[in-house]
Amino acid sequence: MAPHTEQLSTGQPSSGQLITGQLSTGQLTRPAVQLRELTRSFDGRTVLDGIDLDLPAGQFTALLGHSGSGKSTLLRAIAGLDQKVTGSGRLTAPERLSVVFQDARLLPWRRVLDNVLLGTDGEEKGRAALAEVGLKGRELAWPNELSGGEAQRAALARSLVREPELLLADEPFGALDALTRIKMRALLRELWERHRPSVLLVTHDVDEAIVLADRVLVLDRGRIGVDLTVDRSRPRGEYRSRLLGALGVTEDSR
Amino acid sequence: MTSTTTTAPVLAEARDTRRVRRRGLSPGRRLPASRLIGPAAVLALWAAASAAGQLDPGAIPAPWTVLRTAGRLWTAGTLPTDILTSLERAAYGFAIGLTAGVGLALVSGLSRVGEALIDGTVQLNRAIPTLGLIPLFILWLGIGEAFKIAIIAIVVYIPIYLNTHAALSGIDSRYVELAEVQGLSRWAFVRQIVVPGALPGFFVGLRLGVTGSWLGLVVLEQINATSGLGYLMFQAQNYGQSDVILVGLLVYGVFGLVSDSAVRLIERRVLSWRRTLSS
Repeated sequence: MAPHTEQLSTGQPSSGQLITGQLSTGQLTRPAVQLRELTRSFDGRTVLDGIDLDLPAGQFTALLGHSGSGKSTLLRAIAGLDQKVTGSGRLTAPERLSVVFQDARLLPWRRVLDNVLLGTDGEEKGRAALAEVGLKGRELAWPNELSGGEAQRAALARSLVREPELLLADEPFGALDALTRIKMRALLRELWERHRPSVLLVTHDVDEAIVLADRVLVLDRGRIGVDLTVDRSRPRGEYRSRLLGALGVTEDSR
Repeated sequence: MTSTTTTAPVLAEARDTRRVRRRGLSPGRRLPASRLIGPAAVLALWAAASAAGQLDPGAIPAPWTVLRTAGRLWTAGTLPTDILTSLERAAYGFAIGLTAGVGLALVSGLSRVGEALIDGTVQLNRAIPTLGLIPLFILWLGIGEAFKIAIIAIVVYIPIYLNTHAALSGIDSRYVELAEVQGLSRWAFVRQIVVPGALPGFFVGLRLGVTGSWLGLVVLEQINATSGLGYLMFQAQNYGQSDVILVGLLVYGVFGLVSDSAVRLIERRVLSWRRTLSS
């Protein structure tokens, strides 16, 4: 997938050295994503302030932060979607990565299966991916005919069909109703367990981060404020209060 | 508005006595063949007035006179050749205008250099009434077919360009981002996102263009022609044959209606994904 490489190398005019790495599945010890001194700014305002971060291959990481904390900027930098942003630093990311956006972003003029296969081919793979997200039989539906949850499932299938080494998700369930959100979280975790890509999930929902991820980062004023490894056998309550504290939120209802 | 009680002891009674009927604000169900009702009524009125002798047959001949004249012109006169000549002009002009409009819109919508060169120029062209160009075009291209086709092409390309270009530049930037993420090539991006995304706007331009081609034709054939429907009507004016003029108008009307319906039919087929929204 050449575009990602091109975007990174032509992208930042003022940047330092940029490397795009290729990871084979055998090299599990090498981090999938490596950021060194990554800085990004908009109109002189520094959004990312020298971030150093390694994401090991196959890890499910959640990135928390207030709106405006630079979560999405970080995700877009890793995705290679910030050609017009000034910045510097070194960034290594797999070429084979997929992005799930907050909106499903299906093209309304292509049927669901054709949306899943956008930019790739292999009809059988597409059908299999749709079946995996529970949309078997909806291959020929138009995106307008899908519910919000179904559309986001199709978007997941579109990411899945490319067999990504790295899956970037930018508040993927933010626009869904509470019940659908619970189902979609389970689906995402299930897909991750089966395919084991590295996942970086950007969210503002502390509970979502704890439920899904094995590691939770809190982005605060352009830096990684908290880096927490979640032991899934331990009660979630203590992680929750610690993360909420890091975000400056206090719950006084109880 | 009356208030309804929320605690109704006897439900059935409450339903009967206190039924609040909402006023229906939608225009209601569509009448069958509703498009044809208005024209049919006009036709009926015309026929009735003619039969009753209320209309001066010299000014407005009866419908059947017009039909008889049409038949006579078709079998014994020059009507088939005139129709063919007119159709040919409109078709050539339309084809050239369509190609130019779409081509220019694509170049202008997809590249900044193209936009800088083309968009302002077309806007300037749009500001000049195209029919005002007729004298100049006659000087340049002579009074033959070339200048007529050129004028029709200009009338056609402008709405097609404007609407297609607006649709192209209005394509959601989120889709552009998606294409980047999915690693689409430039060509695949144009084919799979830009073109289908711009089609609704293109069809708006196409319908305006089709109508425009007939409009241009009528004007051109009435003032600068030696053949064609407009020429037929112009001659009829000199001899006071109002029935022949009406035959010409009838043919123009049929042309306009048929071509517009054809475009609409194609539009419905091509944009079938949109039907799910309106139905």
